[in-house]
Amino acid sequence: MVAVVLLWVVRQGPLRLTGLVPGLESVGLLTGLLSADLLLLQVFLLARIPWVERAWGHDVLARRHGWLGFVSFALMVAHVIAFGFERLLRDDSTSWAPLWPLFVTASWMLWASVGTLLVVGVTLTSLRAVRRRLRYESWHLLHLYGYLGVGLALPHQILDSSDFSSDLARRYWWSVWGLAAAAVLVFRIGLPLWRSATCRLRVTSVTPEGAGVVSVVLGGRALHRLGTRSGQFFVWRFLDGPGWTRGHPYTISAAPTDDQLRITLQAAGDGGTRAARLRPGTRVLVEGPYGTMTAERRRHPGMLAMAAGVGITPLRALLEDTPYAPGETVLVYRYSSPEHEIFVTEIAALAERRGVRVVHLPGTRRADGSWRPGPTDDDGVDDAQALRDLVPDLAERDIFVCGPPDWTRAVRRAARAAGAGREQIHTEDFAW
Amino acid sequence: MRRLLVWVGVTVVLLVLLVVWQLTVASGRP
Repeated sequence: MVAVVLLWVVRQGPLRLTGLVPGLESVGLLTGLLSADLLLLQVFLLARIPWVERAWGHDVLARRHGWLGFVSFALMVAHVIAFGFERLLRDDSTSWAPLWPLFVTASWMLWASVGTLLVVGVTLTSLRAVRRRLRYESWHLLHLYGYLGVGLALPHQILDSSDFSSDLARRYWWSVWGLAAAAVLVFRIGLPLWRSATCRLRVTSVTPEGAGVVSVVLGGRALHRLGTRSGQFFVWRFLDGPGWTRGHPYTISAAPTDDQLRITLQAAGDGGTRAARLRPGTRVLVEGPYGTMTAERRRHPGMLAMAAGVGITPLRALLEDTPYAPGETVLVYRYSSPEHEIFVTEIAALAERRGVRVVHLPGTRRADGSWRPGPTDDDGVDDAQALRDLVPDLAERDIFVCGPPDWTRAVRRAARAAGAGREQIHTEDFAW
Repeated sequence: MRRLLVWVGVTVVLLVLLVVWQLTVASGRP
């Protein structure tokens, strides 16, 4: 950001702000530079660079990527409008004719215009209202046109823009864009392919857990090289026929070993029904591990794990291999009815072996947005107080929460109100 | 897979058309 503003200052951008036409040109240049810079940052944020993922967590990165996307889009629109008006005023034109060479026939400008349209398309399809109507896979493929759009806009920035007339500036800009492209190729494509090839993951078995949930066990070799920790997830692609290109994020549900991983998922939706029908021996491509809801985040000896529904999966793994003494950990497990409880024997065994206090909370979802089970809506008990009654020393514990987003938010609110600090509460949205 | 191939196809066609445009029609600085 500093570099591009410097570039603008060096090109006497601020001095030109005094007149209308040079001012528009100057604003156009600055907004264009900032927009391109933010686009670059967006690419870096989701390039799956391992240490970036570890530092912020995928959900935070995805949110920032989205936010930056809209800011950079606004700047890009400003850039186009500023240059459009600058051209019309400079030529003192009463018609739109000067815009034709600007956006179409000038060198590299059709590339930039097509790139802009692609970025506009990607941004519009990312608006929440539009995105909800699209299948995730369709949206994702449309989103890939963003890379193309960004790439098409690059020549007009470097080859024609006066900002890059100096050798140093040009070299800098090519280098950062080259690095971004390399990061995407290495970390989004190369590394997952390499890991999948060396670990040779295959489906070993598929076991129903009840309530429409299945566990898939995967065998491989030297899995320690993946550096997987309990609480993390991978994006899985099962090579079982057409449609294998669609990846699905599933959390591991048992502590990882050197030759085995296990995932547990709802056998519903496109990926779930497919996974439930997997045959032993099917080869698997993995991207990951991702996620920061791991024991590394812990700051306290005591833990409170709060799970709802299939959100029990990462917490079940976490409770298995995280260090804690008997009596130091509480698991609060919400599910809609006893038939929807999964890992019944495994959780009982964990409670027995590791001294976990398990609190079962079966019951329907409440209309008032409480984290507690229904059907009673108004029982006069405060959400935070109810949590404090359950775990009086929650302010001295690390709190791991996994469940549907609304429920997770309700738990977070209650825990904060009950005295837990922000840094104590560990959650992860599946914002994939 | 089919969708991905469509994506690659659209990208290649677009790039070819743009290269042709740049080499034949496009002129000088904007």
